[in-house]
This record gives sequence, structure tokens and C-alpha cells, in this order.
Amino acid sequence: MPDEGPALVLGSVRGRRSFGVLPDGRLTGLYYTQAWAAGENQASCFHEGGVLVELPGGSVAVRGAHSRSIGTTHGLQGCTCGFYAYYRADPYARSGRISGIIEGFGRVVLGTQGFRAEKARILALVAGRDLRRTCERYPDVAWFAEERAMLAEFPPTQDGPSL
Amino acid sequence: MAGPGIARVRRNAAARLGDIGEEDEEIEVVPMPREVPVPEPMTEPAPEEVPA
Repeated sequence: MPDEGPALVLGSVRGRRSFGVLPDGRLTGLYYTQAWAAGENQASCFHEGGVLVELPGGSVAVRGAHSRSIGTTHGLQGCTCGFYAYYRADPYARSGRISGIIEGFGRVVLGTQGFRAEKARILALVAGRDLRRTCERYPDVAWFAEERAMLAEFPPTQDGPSL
Repeated sequence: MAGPGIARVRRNAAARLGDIGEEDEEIEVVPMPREVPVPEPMTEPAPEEVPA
């Protein structure tokens, strides 16, 4: 019997997450430092061949991993790749990081506390400091001075999407 | 050679980097089409009545 693939769901799922920021204003993941683009982002799997590097200050990053595209030959199931976001508290929120809301779609694994997705776009960000360069990089993103206001206008999906 | 503070990433060890809790099966989420404003229908002004 042919593989029918994952079940199709119409909609999207929203979650909170944190970003790092490069000197040129582009946002990055906290562990994988590929930059987020404005609009749609496609995740790659970096879980083979990399090294986990502890950076000064206690943060960590992954270096030297081989990239694999996510699609027909490599799904999210059975791996840990994808863009991560959380329905309620963001466990990685720290001072100096950028908080935001993303919309996940494409291949998605839903968890009890959040999701990881093959594709994502940034919907909203909190500018707690001067982020002029970042604002210019992401013109379609809604910016907020306070996280509370962002969550009111872009509430994360509670307990996953309604299927 | 890996120095202090550098560890080999193993496939399962990466799970601790992002914990979304107990995971369900993978699904394919197709975004809803974004709402596009429908333009108002063009209406021609009623012809002025011309007295016979």
C-alpha cells in the first residue's frame, strides 16, 4: 500500500519563541544560527555531524552540521528538527533575546507545550531596545513595545490548532 | 579535536534543545488563504428622468 503521507489540515498554528540577532539586524535561532528571512522560512535538518559549542556567557550553538532538507525523504517524525514555538510560556525567553510570534505550517508536529514546523513566518516581535536594522529587515512584521500587547493581538494557538 | 565545552551532537541528544512536550503524529498544515478585500461592485448612476 502506498504511503499516504501525513494528514492534511487546513489552518495554521501560532506560537511564541525567542530569537538571537546578528549585527546586521537579521534574526537567528538560538542554537542554529541560520538567519530568518522576511516571509516564509523553510527549515533544514542539522542534526547530523554537528558539534555543540558552548559560547562565553553559557549559551550554546551548533557548528559544522550537515544540512538536510525536510520533505519526502526526511520528515519531522522521528527527528527533532523544525522551527520550534510554544503555546504558553517560552522557556527560552531571556533578557537580550528577541521575543516573537511565528506561524507554523507545512509539515508540523504538535506537542503538548508547543510545536515544531517545516515552514514558518514571523508575525510579530517585541522591540525592547533599539532594533532599527531588524525593523528594516522584516517590514511585514507587526512590532510591539510590550509583550503583553503582542500576545493580545497575536495570541498563540492554545493547545494546538482546532482540527 | 573537540576541546572543553564541545560535545558531539547525537541524533537523540538534540531533543533537549527544544522540548515541546509529548508529541503527536506529524501532520501537513496548509495555511488558509489570506483574506483579500472584495471591491465594491461598480454601479452606474441612475439615468436622469427626462420629462416626456
